[in-house]
Amino acid sequence: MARLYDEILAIASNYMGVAADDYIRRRIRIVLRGDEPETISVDRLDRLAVGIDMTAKGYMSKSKAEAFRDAILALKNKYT
Amino acid sequence: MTISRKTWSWRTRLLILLLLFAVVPLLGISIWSLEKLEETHETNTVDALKAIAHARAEAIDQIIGNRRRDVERIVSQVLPRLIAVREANAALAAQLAAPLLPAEPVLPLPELQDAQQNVPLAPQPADDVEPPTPDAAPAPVEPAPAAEAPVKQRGRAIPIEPRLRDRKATAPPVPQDLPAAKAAAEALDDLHQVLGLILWDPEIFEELLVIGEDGVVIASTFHKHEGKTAEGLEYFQNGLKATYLQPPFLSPITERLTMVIATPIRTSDLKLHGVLAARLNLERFFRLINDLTGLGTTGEILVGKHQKARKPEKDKEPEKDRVVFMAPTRHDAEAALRRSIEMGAKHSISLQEAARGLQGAGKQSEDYRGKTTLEAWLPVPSLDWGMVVKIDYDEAMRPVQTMRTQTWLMALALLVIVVTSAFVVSRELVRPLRTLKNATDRISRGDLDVQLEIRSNDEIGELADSFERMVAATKYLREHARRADEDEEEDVGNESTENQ
Repeated sequence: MARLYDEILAIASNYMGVAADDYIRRRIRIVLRGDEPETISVDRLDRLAVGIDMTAKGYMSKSKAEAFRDAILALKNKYT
Repeated sequence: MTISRKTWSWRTRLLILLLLFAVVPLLGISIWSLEKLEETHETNTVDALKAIAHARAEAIDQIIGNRRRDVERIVSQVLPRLIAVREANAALAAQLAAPLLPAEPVLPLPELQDAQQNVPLAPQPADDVEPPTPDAAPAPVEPAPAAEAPVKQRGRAIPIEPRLRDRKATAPPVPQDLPAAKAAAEALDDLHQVLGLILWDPEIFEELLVIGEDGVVIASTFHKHEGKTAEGLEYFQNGLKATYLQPPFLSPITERLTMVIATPIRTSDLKLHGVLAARLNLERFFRLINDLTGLGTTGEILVGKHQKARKPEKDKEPEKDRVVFMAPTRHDAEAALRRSIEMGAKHSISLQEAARGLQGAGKQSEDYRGKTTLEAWLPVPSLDWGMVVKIDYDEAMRPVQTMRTQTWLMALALLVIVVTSAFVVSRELVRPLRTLKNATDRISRGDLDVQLEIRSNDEIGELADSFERMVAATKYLREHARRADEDEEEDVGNESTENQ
């Protein structure tokens, strides 16, 4: 699970830069209802992607935000 | 004080770079190649002209040599008949106990006089009128013709200078039934037949004359010349000594250029019996000169002869030597014996040198028409002529000029392509950079709502991604910093309320 978290963080860094760690930890805590972000599992990726889709558009262009979301969703195929 | 250094835009730099490294070298190579091509083409053309000149000169020398040999060979056939005629005449004279006199006063051959009207052009083997035999029965004497008025030939008056031999007008008639007279007539007839047979091909000789050592024409294939005297003629005087080639002149009979080869008629003991003169048909000769194969539309062959200036008359300016054109040219059909150039003239240098026995080849700035030409020139020893084979420089260089024009057109097209490409490439390069620069300006003024529409997989695309990443992080951190400030203010407010 920590490995999944690392990959999510790596993807987020490509889109959020130096703010990626804070942003993605906040998003994962909302999905896991307060649990540690490193414990995120594959079945939570859909909800994480929805959250990213809703919030990332405030920081980047729509196409970038969609690409961020799709990159997170692609992890599902990799880990299932 | 700041010193601003003007920096060229990328558009200008690209244009300069493309011009410097693409167009200029290409142009340089093209110009160099064209120069080399022009040199090579000029050399090849001159070499071709030299080859033509040598071939034609050798052919002319060969023709003249062959004709000289032909005339010398004819002597062997003429000699026994000539001796027979003289012996028959001597026998007849002995029988008559009186010398045979000419039927009428001896007139000179019409070499330099005006053309006779309605005279057959080619020698006739048999005429309607039986010609009187000069050495045979003399006819009643007619009064000597007075000096005739000058006769016009092609607009020029040529004076006639008859030189008459003042011989005894009366002579006793020769009875034709005498066996000696018959023998004399038969011997002469035999001589005529031999001459007629030799002249079967009029393409080579136009006339054959057998002239006695006293200069009187004994027999000729053109009967009107018989009985006339060639004593004063140059070819006869020189022909008494050795085979002689008289330079071409305008024949008064055919009104064409002709030449005479004269050779002495001698027996094996070198006793002189007369001169054989052959008038050449120069048609074949001039066909050779006027064959312009390989000389395009302006090329031509000139032949000229060095003519020394006459001695000046008293109190008159000395004349200069000249080079006389000996054949018509492509651009002047009347040039033969009519056109000439002064030795030392600034034009037609090649013809002057060739007439002086020199040879050479190359570009000449001015010919007799004032044109720039490529020429090859050399002497023709057999005739003591000079020959020039030439072609107009413009025509010779036309292929190079065409290639030069095409090259310049291609260079112009290349320049247009290069300039257009420079504009297009620079625009593609500069536009995203300008977009990034504008976005950076907005961010620097606090406006973080910047969205770049740069989608490329090159370095510009990577730069745009990094920029967007930086903007997203900045916006997020600013937003959360503001929230943290708001939360902190709220906490402070609550705390102070609780304390109260």
